[in-house]
Amino acid sequence: MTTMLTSAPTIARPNARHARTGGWLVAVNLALFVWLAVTQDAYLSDRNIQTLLSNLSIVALIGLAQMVVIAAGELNLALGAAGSLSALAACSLMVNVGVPVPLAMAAGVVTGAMCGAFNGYVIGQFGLSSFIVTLATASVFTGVALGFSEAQPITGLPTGFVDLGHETVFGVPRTLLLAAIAAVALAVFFRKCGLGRQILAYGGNSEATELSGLRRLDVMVAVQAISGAVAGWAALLLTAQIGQGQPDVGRDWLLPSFAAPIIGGTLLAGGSLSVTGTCLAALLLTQVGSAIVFIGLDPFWVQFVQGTIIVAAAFFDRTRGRAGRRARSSAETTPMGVGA
Amino acid sequence: MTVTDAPNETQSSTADSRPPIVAAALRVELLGVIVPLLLLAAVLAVVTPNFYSAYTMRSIATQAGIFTVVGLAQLTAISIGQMNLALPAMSVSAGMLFGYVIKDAEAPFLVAALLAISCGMMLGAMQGALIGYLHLNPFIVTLGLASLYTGLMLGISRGASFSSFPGAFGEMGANRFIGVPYIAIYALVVTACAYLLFNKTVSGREMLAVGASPRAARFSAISVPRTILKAHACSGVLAALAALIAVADLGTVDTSLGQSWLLPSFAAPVLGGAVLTGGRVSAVGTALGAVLLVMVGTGLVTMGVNQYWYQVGLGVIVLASVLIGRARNRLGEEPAPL
Repeated sequence: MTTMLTSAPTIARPNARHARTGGWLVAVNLALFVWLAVTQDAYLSDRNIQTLLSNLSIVALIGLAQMVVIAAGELNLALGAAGSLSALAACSLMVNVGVPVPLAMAAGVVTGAMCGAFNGYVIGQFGLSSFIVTLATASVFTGVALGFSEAQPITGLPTGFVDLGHETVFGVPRTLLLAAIAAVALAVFFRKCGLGRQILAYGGNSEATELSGLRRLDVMVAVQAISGAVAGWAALLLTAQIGQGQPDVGRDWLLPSFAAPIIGGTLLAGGSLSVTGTCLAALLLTQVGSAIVFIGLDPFWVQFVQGTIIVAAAFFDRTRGRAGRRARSSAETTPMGVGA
Repeated sequence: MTVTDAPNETQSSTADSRPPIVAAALRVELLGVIVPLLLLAAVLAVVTPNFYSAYTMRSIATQAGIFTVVGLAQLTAISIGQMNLALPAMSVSAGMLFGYVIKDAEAPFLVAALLAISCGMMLGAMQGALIGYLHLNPFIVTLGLASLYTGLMLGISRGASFSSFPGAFGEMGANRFIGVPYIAIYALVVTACAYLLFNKTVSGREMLAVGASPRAARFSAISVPRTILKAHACSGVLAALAALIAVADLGTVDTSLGQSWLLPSFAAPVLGGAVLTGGRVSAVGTALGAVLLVMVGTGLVTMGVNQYWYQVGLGVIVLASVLIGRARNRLGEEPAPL
């Protein structure tokens, strides 16, 4: 657990404080699991465990998609909209054109990546803030998805695709394994690849990195495209679980996308991220969601709980940010994503 | 002078030496919204012959009135270089409180309105305190509070709705003064108040100073946390006012009030020349931006365009306006605000 946090090269070593985040998340997850398993009979049933793990795969991917952008000190509000567009593209290719499933899924991921690359290009080329650009393109992507589909779901998806969302391998849902592939790929990317290290360095201190020759445009296109691709992957897996292509499949993704990485130890100021932490936080969010259902909390109060979690996450970020901030003077007032 | 800049040193010294040039530059800021507005008006006149009917004009004035106040609510948060994603949540909370007090508690209009406005102020002040005094990230706090406030409102109201309001308030939305809907007049009054806030009051100038440079503001003995709190409280008050005006127009309030206000709330100020990093705002520009937005929307509807494509158009307008604003900043050889 000591090396779970991947930091910018400028921050010498993942410190003990960060490592404790992981231990803390494991403990809370375990406590919640044991409590629910003891008090609720159905919690340990095969069916519920399957549901939990299926949900976990989606929440983790959404969180990872946002984490990549946060690591560079930016944000992506268009992640759900890009996901919806990816799912729609893949589904219409499968149903209307008859493209084979793997090819259609690849096309879906590419759609997400292209949505993201467009965001990144506009942000980087014209020196705009990722906040306003992705807020605007979220509206554009959502409108395009709803306009083309006329807000009707796409039914009659090939069984090969729908089975992905329901099959298990040794009791583990296939979607969880597919999500894990993306998580491992991201972890390797940020740890071993030059571009991944450069993105973290940019998030840690954008000025110094730009002076050393890295272009903001490249970083923006890279992080937003990766974010869009991961969001597209999440949307495809969720569509396979649902069994039909919904044009607004990523509608409610904004809150969990920020909650998972922040609770998992990714700093909003950029420069450090944690794939393991994001996944553990996603598990926590999934368990809380399940607990809400089991306890029978009035659905009217669900949104209140979600909001409270996000505000709590802001507190975590503050306490951690203070520890890791050091000489970063701009971080004290500049809100994330408001670049220029 | 309609565009309000932060009282920073370089600006005022330029103003002393070359007032006509500065005045011209400031006028150009508003041209950015006036020119598209005139172009659009001309295009719509040609494309849709009966666009300028009294009915359409009244509907545009009413809608623009609501969007103006929504935009001004966001503008106060933008003035300090932040954002208020909880604006729609504040609006619907204040609107629902108003509906409950005036209908179920049968209180007089004034009591209900004051309660709703104080509700907006409290919600905004709480948000400002979390950001200003506890130094939490503004984006995440307002995102979380948006959900928290909406959840509280849903949990308490349990999805209720209120309609057929008694007395004078019931007619407020429909009444007209020499053909101008009351809604538009309220919006003009609110715009004038916002203009005065940013141009004539110490609090407003302090907000702009904090938006331009929090560090410089601190060195000028401005309490940055208190200014942040004030700006968010103002944003809450304006969000509540927007809710009241919208309720007067609709004649009903339910939990869906303000659901689609977030993007327009940014679009109107940005179209009006506000800089998202803070320190530069225009209340008049925001009102003109709201008119432009509503005219585009109405134009698309009269041409029979699907509402989903309107959503696309709205996003494109916002993108275009930030791009134009960026280009204008570069042309003016101003240093990019950080």
